[in-house]
Amino acid sequence: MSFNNIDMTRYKRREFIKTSVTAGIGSTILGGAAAARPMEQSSQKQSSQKNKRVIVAGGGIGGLCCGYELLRRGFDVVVLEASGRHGGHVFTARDGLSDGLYADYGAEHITKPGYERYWEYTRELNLEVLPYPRRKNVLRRIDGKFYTEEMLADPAVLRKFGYNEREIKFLSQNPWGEFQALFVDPYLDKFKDEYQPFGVGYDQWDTTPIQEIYKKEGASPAALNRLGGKNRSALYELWRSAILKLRGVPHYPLEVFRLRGGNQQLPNAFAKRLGDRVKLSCLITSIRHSASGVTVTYDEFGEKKEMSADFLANCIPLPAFKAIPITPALPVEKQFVVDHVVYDSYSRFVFQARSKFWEADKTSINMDLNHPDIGSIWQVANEVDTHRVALMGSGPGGVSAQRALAAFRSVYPGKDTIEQALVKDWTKEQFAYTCERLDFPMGQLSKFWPHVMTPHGRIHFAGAYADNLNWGMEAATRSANRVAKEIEEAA
Amino acid sequence: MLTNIARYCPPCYAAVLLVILHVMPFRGGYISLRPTQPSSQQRNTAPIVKINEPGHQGVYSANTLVSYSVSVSDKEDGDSRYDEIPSNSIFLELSFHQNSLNSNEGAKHKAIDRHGLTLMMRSDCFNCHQFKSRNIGPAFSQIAMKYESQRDAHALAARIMNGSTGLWGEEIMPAHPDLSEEQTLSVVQWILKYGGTETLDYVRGKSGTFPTTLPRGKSTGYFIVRAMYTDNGTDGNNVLTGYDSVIVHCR
Repeated sequence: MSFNNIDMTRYKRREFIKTSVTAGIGSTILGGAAAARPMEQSSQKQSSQKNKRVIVAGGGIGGLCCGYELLRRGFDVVVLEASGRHGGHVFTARDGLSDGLYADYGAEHITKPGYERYWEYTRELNLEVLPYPRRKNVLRRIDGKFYTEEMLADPAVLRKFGYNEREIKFLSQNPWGEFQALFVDPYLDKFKDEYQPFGVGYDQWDTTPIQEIYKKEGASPAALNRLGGKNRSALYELWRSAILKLRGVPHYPLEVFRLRGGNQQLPNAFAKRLGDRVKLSCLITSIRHSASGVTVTYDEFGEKKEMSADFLANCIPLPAFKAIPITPALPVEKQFVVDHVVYDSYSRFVFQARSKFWEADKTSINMDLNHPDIGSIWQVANEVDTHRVALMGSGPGGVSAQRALAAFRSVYPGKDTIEQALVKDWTKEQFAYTCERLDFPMGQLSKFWPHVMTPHGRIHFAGAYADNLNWGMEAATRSANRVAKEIEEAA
Repeated sequence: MLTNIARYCPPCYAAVLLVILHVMPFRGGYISLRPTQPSSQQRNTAPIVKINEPGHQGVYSANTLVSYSVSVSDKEDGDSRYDEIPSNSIFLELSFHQNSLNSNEGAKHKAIDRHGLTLMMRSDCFNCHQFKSRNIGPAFSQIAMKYESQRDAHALAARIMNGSTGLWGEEIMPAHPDLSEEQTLSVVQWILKYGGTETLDYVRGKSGTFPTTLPRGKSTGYFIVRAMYTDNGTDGNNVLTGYDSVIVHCR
């Protein structure tokens, strides 16, 4: 079977993803329920695969998950990670915090429904999942004033914002974050396969701004101002919403979860099972590939090394991957994807306080601050036994911890007891500043999809960029499983 | 010798100072952002920058990636071998030239005015912007194409100083209160002057690869590859930039 020209029929036949999504349960085809793991294979196939080696490029959650899945399938696996730690953008840290407090400076939460593969891993690897109330009772600062969720469901308040009666009715009956659904829902049922955006009757809308759909559906000027969408492809946005609907996931899930001890527990668990197969401070410097295998050169603490394998699974974010010389060159359509996928990046702030000061101020600490230096704030690690609390905030790269704290204090309607301010600025990362993949540009969906997932010869692609929905840990674990299966079929 | 020139021919001394400031020797050296004068208060030492790879006058295929590595040693800031120099503070400037090079011709090419660039390298500009490709923010080439005239410079400088969002997408550029109006204007003027230069590119990091992307219609030529590091000076003042250059031929 050739893997050079993947076509969408392969993904239509991937019922294991669709059935797992629509049923909202872990898929038996993706790996089976926890009790049936590890996957059973004939001993003959396993022993033949034991002779096959896979180099996994990148030791983030995508690479570690892919390495774990390949190991389970009997492959000889090596994971090469450029930095001195594995986990990538799933990063739990305790530095600077006291009393055992910690914070997830990168990937924040999972949802349910959604993240089915991830939930299976938590059961398989005995990781405890905690409810994460960060989206409960959110206070939203709009035009300098704070609004509770009750206020934002009050028709009188909504009327003052300028919403029309249809919008007011929706917002008074649905969460504030679901607003886009009012305008896009009528279009979503045409999408039957979450991996197939084309041929459902909306192909021409890739060059239409999604804002035109909002207008078509009668959006008020206030709604248009809030939703934006002048430069976002209607086809891409509708497809994205359809993926969520097919998975049973709201646009803005209110019930979210995290791992006790931090989300890095999962990549750590993969890495533990991979053992010394994970090699840190190994920067890949070139890739050579042929019909029979791959050879990778890498730099390990200044020492140049080389390793050959039967396959390469690239789990390095594409802006970093594109700096690696590949011989022979990738096909033009694959290189286009490598050169043009863009990501967001930001700073994460952590404030440690002496008390839950917001309770004295009779307010919620889950806040959308809408300040240019700090967009939002919420509590983390609330299960830790201490009188101290840790709060997390998000803002753009380039903002220091003290500046973010000053911004918080300039808008917080009360008196805080913050005693420590920390920051992780992802835009300063040496190897991969990249957080989540951004929307594909208008008019270019067919240049990116499905090529972003397509393997080329012995090189396969997984990671947060390499799935249909761009939610980091979801895309990373799903695509890691896809690639492990691709390589198993190709071996 | 310079003291004698200053004593007997002040205009000649001034001319020599101008040469020192504006004409850089081809391999190795440094340039100061202010005239070099003996001073008991000036304690900063210039960084030593060396391109270890690629070799000088190497020949490579056009439109490929060439591996490079740079080492920096600075008496005050430390040594890049021990990660004492942040990798992201080391830059490579790539300028393409068409004719084959005699080794003395490099000095004749018009020097790039790097004042604005040095401010950008010391600030956080390159964390979110690349020279030719979009990453978190627009590329400098895209900005130069959109705002071709220097008359937009003051408005753009205000955006850098005060922060900006919405012009290029939903990402937020934070405010830069550490930069003065004069400094941000210098940055903007550099972007508008050089951002659209097809024969110019920049990459960052103490090692990695750079592209030998030839301008449209060109099939051969050479790149002057110049590595640069600007140190932290003395409390942020009297910063010095060290550099090294090699020629890379493309066929």
